[in-house]
Amino acid sequence: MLTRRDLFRLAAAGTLAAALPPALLAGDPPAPVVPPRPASRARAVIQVWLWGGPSHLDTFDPKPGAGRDFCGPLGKPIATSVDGLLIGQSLPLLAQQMHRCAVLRGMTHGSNGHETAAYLMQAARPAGDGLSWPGLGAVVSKLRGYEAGYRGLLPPYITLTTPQGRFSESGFLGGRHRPFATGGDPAAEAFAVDGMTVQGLSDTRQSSRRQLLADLDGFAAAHPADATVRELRACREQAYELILGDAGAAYDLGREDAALRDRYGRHRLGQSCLLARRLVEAGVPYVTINANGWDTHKRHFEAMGRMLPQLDAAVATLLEDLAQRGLLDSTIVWVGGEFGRTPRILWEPPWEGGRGHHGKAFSHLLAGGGVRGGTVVGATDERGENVVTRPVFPWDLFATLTGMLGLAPDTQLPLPQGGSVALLGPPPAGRSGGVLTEIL
Amino acid sequence: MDSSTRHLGTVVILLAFCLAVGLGAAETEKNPARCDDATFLRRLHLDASGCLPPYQALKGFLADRRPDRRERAIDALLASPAYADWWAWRWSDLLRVKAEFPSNLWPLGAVATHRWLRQSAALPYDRFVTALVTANGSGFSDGVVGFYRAIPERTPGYYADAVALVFLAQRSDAAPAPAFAACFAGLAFKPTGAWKEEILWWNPALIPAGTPAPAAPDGTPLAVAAGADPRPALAAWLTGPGRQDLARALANRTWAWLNGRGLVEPVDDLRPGNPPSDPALLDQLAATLIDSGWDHRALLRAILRSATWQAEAGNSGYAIRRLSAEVLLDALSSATGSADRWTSQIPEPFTVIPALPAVALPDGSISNTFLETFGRPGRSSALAAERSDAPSVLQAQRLLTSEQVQQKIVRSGWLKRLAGESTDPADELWLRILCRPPTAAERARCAVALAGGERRAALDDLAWALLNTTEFSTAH
Repeated sequence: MLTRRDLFRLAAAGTLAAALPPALLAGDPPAPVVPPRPASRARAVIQVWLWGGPSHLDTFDPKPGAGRDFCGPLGKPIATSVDGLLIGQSLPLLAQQMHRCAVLRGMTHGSNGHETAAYLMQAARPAGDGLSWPGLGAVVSKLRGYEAGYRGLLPPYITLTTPQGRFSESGFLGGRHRPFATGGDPAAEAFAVDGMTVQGLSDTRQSSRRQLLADLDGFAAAHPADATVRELRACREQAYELILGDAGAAYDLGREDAALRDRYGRHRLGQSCLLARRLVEAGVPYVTINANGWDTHKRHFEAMGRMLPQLDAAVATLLEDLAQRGLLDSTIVWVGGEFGRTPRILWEPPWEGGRGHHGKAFSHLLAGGGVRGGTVVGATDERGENVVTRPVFPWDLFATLTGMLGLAPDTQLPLPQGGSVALLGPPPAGRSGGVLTEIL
Repeated sequence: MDSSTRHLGTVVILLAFCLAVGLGAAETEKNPARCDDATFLRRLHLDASGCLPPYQALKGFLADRRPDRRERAIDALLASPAYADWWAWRWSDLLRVKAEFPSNLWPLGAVATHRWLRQSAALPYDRFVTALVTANGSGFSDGVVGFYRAIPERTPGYYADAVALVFLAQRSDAAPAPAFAACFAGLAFKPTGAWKEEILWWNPALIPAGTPAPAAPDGTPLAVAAGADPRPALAAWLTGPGRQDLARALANRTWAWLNGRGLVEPVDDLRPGNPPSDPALLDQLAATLIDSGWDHRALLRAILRSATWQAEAGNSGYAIRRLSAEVLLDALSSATGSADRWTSQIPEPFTVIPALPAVALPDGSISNTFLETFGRPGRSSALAAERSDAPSVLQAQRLLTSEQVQQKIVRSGWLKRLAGESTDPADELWLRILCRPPTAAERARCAVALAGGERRAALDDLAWALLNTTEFSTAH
């Protein structure tokens, strides 16, 4: 239950935690408690959310020495554009982008439930503290959206193509900061954005419908001063600007070069990455790509044979494309899921080469927005089961990302029951390795 | 406004009812003009069942000349299954009925809790509250247990906060009094062999040494043997000495459900420093509830019969407001005659969800983009502020140009039938969509639209336009 007392309790816990040294493994330098605030370069975030949790061993934290029971058929990692850095053999295109990337191999939170882990990774708060915290996208929508001077007709927080579903992305910030989910399939011949187009409806008919509506909305005419009626009419006029005006062109992938579309990959993930670039170009500050299908308990390697090449082409082309257009410096690309997958492979039926949930150790990838490329943060043991140096907790990642976006940690977020709470609490005792100064 | 509906006899009888149920002088002094019959029936069904009036019921009502037709319509609706759906929907928000996160009832528990709420729509409110507060058992077979299971933080303090917020509309500034929290000190869940099933029970061994003797929220000691479950005594206090607070909380919520705003705002912040806009009225409503033997339908009946609720919309009368997410989507579905589709991420593999109206969905995890866009609450807390009925550009877009709305029009059976007829379709279009007959000017505009081209396309355009009017998307 939400109460004002929770705030006192949270504040008290914060005071306590701030007095303690951050939990660090021996030998690591102490991290600052308050994230540094360099002149932020990041204006936008493209979050490639790999729903279900991809295997860290098969992607960014290969363990060739662990043998077939851990690597399966993917036991030969490949060299990258960074000396000494190896990644999974199924990602040759991404390998050539590693000089632009920071690989977070120390990700950990220990939760193996999809919903709790997804909440932890995106809201960076433990579940059950009495508040339902917003994810980073909703925070950006709140602090960089319409209430903060954003004037774009495109919504400030867009999800390609479906919402996350497992938890409310906007938390206590409420429905206004939920993402706009486009629906449709960007890889389809005719990509229809929910609420932007109706198939077979010509512009002429749209216009005549608009006139008909104006003529038949006598109720609005009879209540010109009513606040609700005025607001409904104002929203309708703005919607028409978006539907009939130029802003909607950002969704039109037909305006892209066919060869570039091929490089991204003619699949949902590839074309979503291309669309995300177009949206960021048009000024949208936060785009989430919900890439489903990574919860591979059964026949994992068959799925990887299909999915990793798609991920490889989509993200590698996105990084190259953003860089060529001069957008990478101002756009954070964040790739990862709610956890990793169990390093030891389950060969027996019914799994037949499956991997379970693994919240103790996994990897995320960051690039752009000022991230120092070619860096690796943290390391796991020889089997990828536990983090052995430089753990990266959800708080650390969230603090780093908000810092890169120039959002002050003490920015107040309003609570529905009144009062407000700081965007970023102090690092939770025992659950923080500090801000990722290594990549800034 | 149809002047014939303002039959003198109706007015006299309505005033008599209004005075009889004690809606005070302040109400009748303003003597606002009453809305016409068509507006009344639409408003009644939207506010007390969350649905548009069925087409045949509307036609029957408009032909009914009996002076007590409004009272009959109110009574019929409150006795219908639609009212039970509405009651369960309102309470599912308050009890956070949701399969997953932050409440974790799981699909079976969510459905069980919703079923219990629906079946309890006829239960007197004192027994309803007692059942919830004293719940024990498996959350999968005893839906009433869902109240406790949906509270993510399993500590006596949070249980006490939930009871105070949900039933008394009281928020706590500080930790609840230890003696009140002691009412829940022995509450425990134990797992069973079934996946995610848990049994709520009272375990005296859990009560820490030094726990004070249990007391009601106001500090009144509860007479309970040491170690015994104090919740029956707490329920007896809530429905006995504490009944004024209990009744005022429900009266205020009910007023807000039917009028868009509570007499106290926020509706879940009743305290001395936050007085009602009309204290006498809130007291009268609370007395109506208690005196009726805790029949919440008597409370609704009193409000629905009042001059205030039946006033014309706008200005200082009935407040015009956007229909809530579920209600608006159901209105689109029932006006066109097409059901909607739902998805739930939980559990995997995805369950098949029957074609229910949005208001009747048993689980907050079952949703679709429309409901999310129009501000359905995430049921993260029991606070009313979680629901947003504020208009937005995205909502307008979805109504103006979305496949979802377009498909409802294209698949509409009655529009298809009208396309094959040659009669004037204006009456049926307006009655089915706006729940009233068209004016002469509207009938003429309709004829112009039909003269322009192919009949089915013109009918689709007309239906689309009516569905997009502010009249359709608001309660008024």
